[in-house]
Amino acid sequence: MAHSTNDGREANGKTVLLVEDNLHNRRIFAGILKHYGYQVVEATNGVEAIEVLNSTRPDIILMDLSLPVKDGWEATREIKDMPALRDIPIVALTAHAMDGDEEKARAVGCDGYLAKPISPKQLVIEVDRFLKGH
Amino acid sequence: MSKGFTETGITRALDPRGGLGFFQRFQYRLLGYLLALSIASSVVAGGIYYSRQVKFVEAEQAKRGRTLIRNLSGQSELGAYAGDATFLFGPARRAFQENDVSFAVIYNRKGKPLLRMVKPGVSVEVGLSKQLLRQVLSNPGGGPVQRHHVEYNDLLAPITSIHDDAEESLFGTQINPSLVAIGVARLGLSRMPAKQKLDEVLRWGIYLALIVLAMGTMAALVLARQTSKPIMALARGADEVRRGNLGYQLELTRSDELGLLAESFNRMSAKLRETVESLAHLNRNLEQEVVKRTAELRRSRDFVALLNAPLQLDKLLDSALRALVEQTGAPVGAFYLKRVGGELELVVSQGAHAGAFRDPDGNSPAALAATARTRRPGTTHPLPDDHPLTVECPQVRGILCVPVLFQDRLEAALILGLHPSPSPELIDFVEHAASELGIAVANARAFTAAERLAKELERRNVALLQQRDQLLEVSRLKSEFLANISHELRTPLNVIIGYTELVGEGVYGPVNPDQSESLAGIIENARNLLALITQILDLSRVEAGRMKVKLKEVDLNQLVREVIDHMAPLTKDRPYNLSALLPDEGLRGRTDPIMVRQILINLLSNAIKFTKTGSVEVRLQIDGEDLHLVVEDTGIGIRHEHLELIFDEFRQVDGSSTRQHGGTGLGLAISKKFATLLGGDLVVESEHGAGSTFTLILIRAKIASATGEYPLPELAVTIGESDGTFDE
Repeated sequence: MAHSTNDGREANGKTVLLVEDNLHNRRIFAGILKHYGYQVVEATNGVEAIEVLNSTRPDIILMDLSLPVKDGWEATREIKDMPALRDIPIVALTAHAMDGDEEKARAVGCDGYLAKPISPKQLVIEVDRFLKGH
Repeated sequence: MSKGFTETGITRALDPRGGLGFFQRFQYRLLGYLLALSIASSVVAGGIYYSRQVKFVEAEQAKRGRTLIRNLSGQSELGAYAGDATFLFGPARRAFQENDVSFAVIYNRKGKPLLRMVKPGVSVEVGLSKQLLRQVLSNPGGGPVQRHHVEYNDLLAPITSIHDDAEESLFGTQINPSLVAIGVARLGLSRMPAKQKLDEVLRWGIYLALIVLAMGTMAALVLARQTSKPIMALARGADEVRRGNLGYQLELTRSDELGLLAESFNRMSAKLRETVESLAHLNRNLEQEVVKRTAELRRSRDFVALLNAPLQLDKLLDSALRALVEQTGAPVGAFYLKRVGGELELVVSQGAHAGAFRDPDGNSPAALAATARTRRPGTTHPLPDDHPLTVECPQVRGILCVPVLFQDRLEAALILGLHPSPSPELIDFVEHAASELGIAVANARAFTAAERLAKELERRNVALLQQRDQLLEVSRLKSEFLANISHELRTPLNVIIGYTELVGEGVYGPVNPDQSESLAGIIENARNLLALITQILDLSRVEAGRMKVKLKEVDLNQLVREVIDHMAPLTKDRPYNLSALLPDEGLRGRTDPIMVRQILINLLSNAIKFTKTGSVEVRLQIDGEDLHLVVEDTGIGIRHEHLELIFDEFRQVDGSSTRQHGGTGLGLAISKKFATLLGGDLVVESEHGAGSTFTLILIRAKIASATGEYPLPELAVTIGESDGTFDE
């Protein structure tokens, strides 16, 4: 399932692991990120994400929290438990701007938090900012 | 004295024999008074007698003295004249022979004693003084001169002689031309006889006084006894009464006040006895009555206790009938219960089988029907010899029919088979029992009905609980649906917006200006739809009471700055930028930042929408206890008549405005509701054509909540402190 494209602007050499079960969201976020020069590796659930991480080391992980099979909470906890992967920043994406979600996400190890709806350009801005700041 | 009527005091006062001091006793006091009176009167009487007797004796003696001295002087004329004692001896002797004459002396006119005779033991001064002689001689015709001596009366009288010629007296005084004093006769008259006589008088006086005294004393004694005796008798009588000898009668027949008193006492005593006897009689009757009543009560109580136990009608009647038959000794008995149709049906019987409680014609007893009709308590009816009851139970000669009533309504009826003449007490008891039974039957019926009702109620409760559970489930599903719809509506919209933006960004190849404008149109309307959905859901959550206020410590300055940054893109085709006027000091408060943010966004989007030129400004300011978040614009403003309406849902000032400016008309309604939830308010000032000023008022510690079930919003404001401490 994992593949990468870079058919837009100049590649910036950064790889993003996008974990998102919704096809359209995945295509939109991947599309805009690639357009702005990111290499994007996609996964649709927590299990796939961890599989990807066995072979690829991304610069940042965008993790939807509500996922089938293994949700984002669990996947994040596992990733942060692995010493080799612990320092990869994870930004949580959530559709429910529920009170306390941000705190909970940070508690399981998320380094950032973006509440949906997120416009494609906004996502790029946030990811740029995050990678520059870290 | 105040303790005078202690028990001993009364006893003492009532005891006629003892206790009182001697002088306290009336008898002796009276006696004392009477004795004093009789002593006084005897002394007075004796004194008067004595003094009269003394005067009399003295007068007698004086008279005798005068007679004796006159005789002596008269008889001594010759001897004196002759100066010869021989002639004097005879008269002197005669005088001297008198027992009471102590001495006799005859003097010549010169005072020389011519003769003297003195009784032995009498001392007498014979010589006469000249003065005395002259005094005696100077009055030859007068009475004797009297001188008092201790032992005798010394009487001196002149001895006179009749002379024709006046003769000069010895002293040259012409005394009397016819009488001439020629000597002096002197006589000592002993006081002894008078004294003896007076002593005798005194003795008699004393005797008299003593007699008077004795009589007085006796009279006093008699009087005192006469007076005090009835009083003592009264006291004794009162004492007798006190000791319980009621009706004690005094034997005192007198016509005076004491007699009246005694009569009164006797009447009182008799009345007392009568009263006490009638009281005792009454008491005895009462005791008998109490014993009787107690027995009746015990029977009633046992019966009532019996009735209180079972609440099922047939059990109740069965045990009641057993008890009645046992208590009355009736050989047979039966209970009839009134059924729904009104007829009486035999429910339980004792002593005879149910069939026996029918008249010979096979019908239920006519007497029972009469009782049911009249409801007259306790009627007895004789039974004919061929009545089934009599046949089955020969000692039953009659029946007692008693209606069992509750609040004047026939509940049941009782038949007791009886001996020929039941006692009134027995009938009373049965009637009383029947009245208690009426209540019990009504209770049992009510209990049955209540039980039925309770079952029905329980059934309905169960149904209601099921319904409630269903409703709760529906409500939960609805809430879930609302939550889901929010997600399910937004997700595709976000996808639409996302793809559109992606295309617009040229991710899939270049877009020309027409395409770009169309894509922008898609995005704008999709966003409007998203906003509408969000607002409708917010509103429904507020109205369903599901919108929860979540208080947090909020840096309000930062919140305003963030919202302005967020809204800035909306002014890109406006000739102004959003401006903010914020306090220099950090202004923090405790409130719900999401709601405040939503309100500010709504106000700003409205302001920008209706302000083509001019300015839109946000101000954060403190007003006393309140904090004001103000959004002021120079836009088209609001007509005065519309000011009341702008906070209503789905309302813009007019239809054309909606078309012209877009928007849902929900923003202000939601903002107003949020402001209320926050314990504050949202107010507006506006003038048509001259802009509007919306003010969100956040009130510190204001007790106000739209629903009343959320934590009270409060706003703590600190100025000049950024260390995160709050004053509340």
